[in-house]
Amino acid sequence: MAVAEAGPAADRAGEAARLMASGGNDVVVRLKGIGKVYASGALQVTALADIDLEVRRGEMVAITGPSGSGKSTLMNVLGCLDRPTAGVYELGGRNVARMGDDDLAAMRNRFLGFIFQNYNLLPLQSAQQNVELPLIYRGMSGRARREAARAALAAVGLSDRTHHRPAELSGGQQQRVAIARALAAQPEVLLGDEPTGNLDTHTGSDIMALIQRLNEQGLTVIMVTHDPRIARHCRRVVSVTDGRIVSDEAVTDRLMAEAGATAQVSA
Amino acid sequence: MNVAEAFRLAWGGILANKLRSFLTALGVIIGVGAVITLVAVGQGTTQQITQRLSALGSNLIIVFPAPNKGVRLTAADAANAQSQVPYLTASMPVVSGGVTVAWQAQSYSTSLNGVTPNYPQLRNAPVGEGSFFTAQDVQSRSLVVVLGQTVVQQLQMTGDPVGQTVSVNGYPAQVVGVQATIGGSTGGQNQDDVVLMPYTSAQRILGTAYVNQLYFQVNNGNDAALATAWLQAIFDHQFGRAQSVNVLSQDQLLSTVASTTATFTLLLGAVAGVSLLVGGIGIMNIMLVSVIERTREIGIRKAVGARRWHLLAQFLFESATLSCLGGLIGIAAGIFGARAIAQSGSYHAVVTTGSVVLAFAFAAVVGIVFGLWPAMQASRLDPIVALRHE
Ligand SMILES: Nc1ncnc2c1ncn2[C@@H]1O[C@H](COP(=O)(O)OP(=O)(O)OP(=O)(O)O)[C@@H](O)[C@H]1O
Ligand SMILES: [Mg+2]
Repeated sequence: MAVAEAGPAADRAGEAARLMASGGNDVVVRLKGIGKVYASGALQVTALADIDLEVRRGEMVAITGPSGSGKSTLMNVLGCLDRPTAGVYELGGRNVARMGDDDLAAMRNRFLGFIFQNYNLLPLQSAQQNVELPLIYRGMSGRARREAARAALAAVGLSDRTHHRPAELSGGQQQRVAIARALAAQPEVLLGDEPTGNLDTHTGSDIMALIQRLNEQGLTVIMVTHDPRIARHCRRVVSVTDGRIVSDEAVTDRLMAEAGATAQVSA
Repeated sequence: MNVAEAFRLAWGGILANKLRSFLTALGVIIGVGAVITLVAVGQGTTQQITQRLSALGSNLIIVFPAPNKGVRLTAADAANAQSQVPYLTASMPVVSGGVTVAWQAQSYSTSLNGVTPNYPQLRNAPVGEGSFFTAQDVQSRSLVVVLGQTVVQQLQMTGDPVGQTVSVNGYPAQVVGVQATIGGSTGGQNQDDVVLMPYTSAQRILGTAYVNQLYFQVNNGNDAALATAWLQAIFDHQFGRAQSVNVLSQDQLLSTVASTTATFTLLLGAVAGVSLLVGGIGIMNIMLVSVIERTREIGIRKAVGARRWHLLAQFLFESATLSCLGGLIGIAAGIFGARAIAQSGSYHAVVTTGSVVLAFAFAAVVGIVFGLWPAMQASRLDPIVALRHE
């Protein structure tokens, strides 16, 4: 409750202080021995096993791996959408692995921005209204909300599409609305599960350029991709196989995406 | 998120599918409308009957033979009882039967009441033209009549009916008076549709030596209960059996009628209430479908940080708003329905504030109660499962 209702500035200051107190490092995400076992009837599926992972502020991490390796499961745990069955997950210095539903909702609302492969926008609401959504649940007043949403849409280059509904936007534009929705909440971490998965190479490149720029500005990014080329846009690549981390390397030959004609970034 | 915000979200949900929202509310509209209209008819009928019974005459006690007891009353019983029972200030034997009245070429079937000259005073039925017959007429079995307004109209009598001669079952009778219009009917009998005669003459025409009813009057209503008991005792003694006659005071009649019509109103209201309940189940049904249909939306809202109560509030407000809106439209429909029925003339309908408030409150409660389960379903959805929902 207190987390979600406090002003963003005060909260960030408090968070910084907490991080300083907890050892002075700037680890935003810390997974220790995370496991996830799905029990479907008699059958037990181990989707994640003994995952240790630390992500520092300002990093841009790609999680890759073959299909069924547990990438999405890991992403859901990171995104506080799901609880692990083992281990400790510290987000912003708090163990969220054992939190209740409403506390998890507050963590998502406060610390995380989520973008999905299929955008997940509300179809009957305008871009502006979609971007305002997380702010409603934060208890922000109508005017502040509209301001923040407008600024976020401007930051992704969609100032001229605020009143369009998702169906009236291209896939790339829809994903940028989703990014604006994540940004409006001023998250600690931007999480993406195959954010370019539904987009053609050119538009995907636009989105990657936008994400890279946000990362340059200090936003921590963790994204799942099965595409090695997309992964090379990040600074670090974590590979998962059968629910375990098999490699964790810095990207040496990093690709910088070109912002195309569709993304006249103005921020 | 405050109440206004929850309401705004709910309103968005309602507007998103206007036709379905209307159809959902229709159950409540019909339910509330039916409650208000039917209770209004019940109340109107009660009022009407009560008014007519009061108009029957004040402090009246009516005695008539109990069915299947082989008891028959005579005119002498009236005078006899009056002399024995204190409190009684007047008595009147009544003999009645169906007759055909004819005037010139017109003839008309109506009921004949053989009475005594205190009829106008006992029944609150003043004479409009001419005069009532006299005690002398009763004694001499004169063939004189006082006509009700309906009879005058049906016979299409031209000029002053008073002084003319009509035929009653073939007996020529002179019209001495015409009743003032009473209006309405009691127990199916139009009080203007009647021919009055001295009971002695009526007995002659109907071929009987007995009477059908005895009317008594008490000085004030407080004496009615005592007089009733006394009359019952006298006649039971006279005929040698218990409950030989039925003795009804006007108070008793009123309270009997009142309790009957109250039951009637309650039944009407209950039937309508059931339809309101069905309307509530309709809301629940649609809301459950809506929750399933909007699983993805719920998942998205949860993913960006909506807590359980946010979704609970959104869906609960949606069903409550639907049922309250339905309630408001239903009130308008109910009042309109009651007016239409009253104007059609066959029933009286009186819309009471009580029924309006009750129906609306019931609708609101129905919306909340039946919206609670779907709203809880929405709030409990697992965000991952909800997001994967196609
Ligand atoms: N709800 C569930 N119940 C049971 N098993 C599940 C559930 N969700 C995922 N799994 C299993 O967990 C494993 C990891 O699934 P996950 O979706 O994380 O894979 P992924 O790496 O995202 O694959 P993809 O690249 O195809 O999206 C799979 O074997 C999957 O079958
Ligand atoms: Mg996946």
